[in-house]
Amino acid sequence: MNQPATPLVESRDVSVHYTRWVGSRRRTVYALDDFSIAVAPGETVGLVGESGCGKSTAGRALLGAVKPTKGRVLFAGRDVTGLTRRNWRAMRRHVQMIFQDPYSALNPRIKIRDSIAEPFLVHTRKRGAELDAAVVELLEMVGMTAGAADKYPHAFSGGQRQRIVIARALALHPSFLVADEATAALDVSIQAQIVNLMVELKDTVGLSYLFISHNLAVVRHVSDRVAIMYLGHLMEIGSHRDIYENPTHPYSQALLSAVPVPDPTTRGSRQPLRGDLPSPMDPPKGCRFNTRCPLAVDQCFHERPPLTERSSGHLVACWVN
Amino acid sequence: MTTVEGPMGPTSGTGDGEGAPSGSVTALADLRSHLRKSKAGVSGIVICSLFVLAAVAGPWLPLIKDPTEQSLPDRLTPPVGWGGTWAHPLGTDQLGRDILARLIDGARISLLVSVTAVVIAAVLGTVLGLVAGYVGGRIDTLIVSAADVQMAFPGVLAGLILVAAFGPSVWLVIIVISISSWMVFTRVGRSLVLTLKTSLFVEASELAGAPSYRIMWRHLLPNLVSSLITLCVLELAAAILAESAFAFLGFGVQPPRSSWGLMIQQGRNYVTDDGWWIVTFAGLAISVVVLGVNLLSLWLQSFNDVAEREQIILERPGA
Amino acid sequence: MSGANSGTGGRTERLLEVRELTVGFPTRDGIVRGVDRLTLNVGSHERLGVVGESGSGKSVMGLAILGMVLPPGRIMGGSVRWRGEDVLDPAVAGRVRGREIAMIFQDPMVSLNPLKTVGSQLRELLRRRVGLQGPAIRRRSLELLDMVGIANPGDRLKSYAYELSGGMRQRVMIATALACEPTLVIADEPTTGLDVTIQDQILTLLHDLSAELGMSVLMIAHDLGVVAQFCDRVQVMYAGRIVERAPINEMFADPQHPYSLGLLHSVPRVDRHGGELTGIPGEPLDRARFPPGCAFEPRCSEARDLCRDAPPPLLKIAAMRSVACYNRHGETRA
Repeated sequence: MNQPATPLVESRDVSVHYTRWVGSRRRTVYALDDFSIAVAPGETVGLVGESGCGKSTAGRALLGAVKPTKGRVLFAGRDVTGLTRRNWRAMRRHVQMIFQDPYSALNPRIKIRDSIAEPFLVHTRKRGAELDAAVVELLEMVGMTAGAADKYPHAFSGGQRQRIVIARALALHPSFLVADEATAALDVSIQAQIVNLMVELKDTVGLSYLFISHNLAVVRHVSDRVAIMYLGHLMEIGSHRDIYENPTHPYSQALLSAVPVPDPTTRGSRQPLRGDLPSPMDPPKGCRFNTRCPLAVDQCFHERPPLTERSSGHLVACWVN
Repeated sequence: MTTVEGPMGPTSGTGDGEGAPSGSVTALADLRSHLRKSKAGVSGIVICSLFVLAAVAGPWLPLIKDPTEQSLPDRLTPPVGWGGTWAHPLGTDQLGRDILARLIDGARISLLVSVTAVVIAAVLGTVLGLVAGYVGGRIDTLIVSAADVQMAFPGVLAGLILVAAFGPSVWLVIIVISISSWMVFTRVGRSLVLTLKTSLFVEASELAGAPSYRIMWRHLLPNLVSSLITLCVLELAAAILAESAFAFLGFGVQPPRSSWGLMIQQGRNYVTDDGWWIVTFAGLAISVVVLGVNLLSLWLQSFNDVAEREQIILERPGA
Repeated sequence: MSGANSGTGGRTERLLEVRELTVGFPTRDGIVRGVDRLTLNVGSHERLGVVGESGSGKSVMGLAILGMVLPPGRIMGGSVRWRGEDVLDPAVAGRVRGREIAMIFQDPMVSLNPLKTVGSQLRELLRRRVGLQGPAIRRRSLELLDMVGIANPGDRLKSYAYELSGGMRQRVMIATALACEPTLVIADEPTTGLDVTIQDQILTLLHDLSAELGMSVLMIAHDLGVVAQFCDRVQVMYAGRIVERAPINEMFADPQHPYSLGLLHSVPRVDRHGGELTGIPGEPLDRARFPPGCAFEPRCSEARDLCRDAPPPLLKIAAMRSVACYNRHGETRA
């Protein structure tokens, strides 16, 4: 890949499998398979896919919140896969997360001040007036007033809560943020505010994002590079121009054409992708998209297509296209 | 159902989503207007307050006699209205002691034993429940098994064994009651924690690197408190009954101190002769207090349920 | 499927007429109107979209049209007529609801009985509502499942709701809605929560079915894309009121109400790069604290003194177009 210098965060062939009881049987869930991605300093990588594609697992694996079954995670060139819980704690300063549901992300019984102050209490010696000043500074950074500190979460709307969650994530000046469907639960008029805030913070604070979303339009708006996943496999990765203007994998093409565009003049006779998503407990052999792919050939049912480079930085895992 | 228009005349609003309580209404006002709609809640609070007042201030109340003072000439005086006098409003027992004074003294014991036992059980049980739920794994299995064993073990038997070993005492009763009710707190606490620990705010705190004790203490415990307080009150009623039962069996407080259970035990020989009031008033005291505590816990439960609270408060517009 | 010529084509019959419908919810600050003096019509062979954000009252409206309001809310005024009959009259509602007007909800898991198979639910419906008997029931069940694109309908009749995927459940929901051959389907966020590719399938299915069977659809949605791709006509709701109503192409090409405009500038597009998301400043309204004037006034960049005094009425500004904004009423438009 055409990465300048060392990537900030990198995963190499990370797989996450776990077992789950279904009735009386123990089944393996193949959440993520051989997932390799690199996020450069200052870059936003969008990670898109439908439910069960492993995008959230991928994000949590990069944060060390999920232990990979196989593969390695590197942070600033350093292997952090084998770190103990205690050593990860030090890493927490650098990597943080923003969640989908701002209602569940804030403890309802704790004042905003204490929620935002927690990272400082855990990692620094800031206390008293110094701590208060830090909290207020963070609140103002995300467009809230200092008065918010003494209220409880129920006093705020979803958009305001998401701002507070972002403030908490930024407390220790992390360099990498995973945003897991950070705008999915918000109304569109508020979603735009939060997206703009995140884009703005990227420049002012100097952040890299892994922007996980099912919303292809939002991902296009914020990302430098985009990765498309399906059932735990990376299908295509490239610059946003590669993915949105020249989608190569049949799944990427189908996904993009399925998004309803808010413009009635774009109506046409689209051919929806047939069939349902297979279960990650019982993924198809070969290419995982083969059950729904209009172009599938014999090879697709036997061998998993590797990610191959089609143009500089544009990788596609498909035997046909 | 009567309706009023909002303060600014015609208002329009939304129906989707949950109603957020508006900031102008304080929690105290909520409490008051909720209580106004609940007769059971008021009765519970009145009964419990009288009980606590009698127990705490009893000995200093005017006109209340010494509960241990015997007066054989006055033995088995009936209460006022059945031939007794205001010297002993509820009559006297077989040793001529004032029943009212003994009831009030019994309330002290009852309150002391039940509150202490429930506090011990709640603290122990909640801590175990928190740890079992949050840490999980083998520790969870161990604590849950211990709770199951305790659940199956009869409290009276435990009492008997301990009395046989150490002799009867109030502290023994407290210990027996608390070890036979801690697992209720453990079970409820654990099941609440299992749901809470999947909340994103717990994950956020873990991602911030917060240590486990901090997550349990700062994030999980405050979210358990309201449910556990309701449970405490409910267990209090059980503990009051248990204390009376142990006193009746002679395991607890010893004469000449008084206890409601003990009064029933001593008074039961006189039920058929002329002494029905001893058992009656002691039994009535137990029933009324237990009822009051149960009413209180019921009300707390409905107050803690946000949806139910809103509904009750909105039933009729408050004054 | 084109909204471009709707209205200019053959005369359509008026099916549903809602006049001044008001739904109130008691709160501490008095009665809050979830739906406020709402007026709308649905004609035959029409796909009408209702868009709004959470709290706009669009779902309350969908239920209230059928005379259903969750307590403690209640219908405080207005009328709903179906082919001239009063639907708010329980006797009429019982006859129309689920038969001539069917409903599809966001989460089919809630609407399908978890303890019964798909087949037995369809059977009960066909026997009780349609009056079919004997082998006709099974024949019709298979036909319905086939219509909604379910492969192996024979096997699916034996499935329980939890055994089906989200998309499949929504198909079953649609099949039950179609069982009585309704003239109007009210679809409340029918694809919310489904994956994009599945959403595409369901929308296409609904679109094709409405065209084939000549059904009208009242589509309630928060996703502007869904409405743009599906509907002929659209109305935008904010705080319980309709703020703008227009044919689909005109709404997206030339929105008039500042709120409609703000919404359109809030959604990024997948088929186009760049452009700024302006969003709408401020927060959605606290349901208890509504201004006496236009509900959007606190967030509106064009607000004037007039806007603070009384809510602007929904007035016609051109053929098929109405808007509730003082700043647009003065202009005469061709």
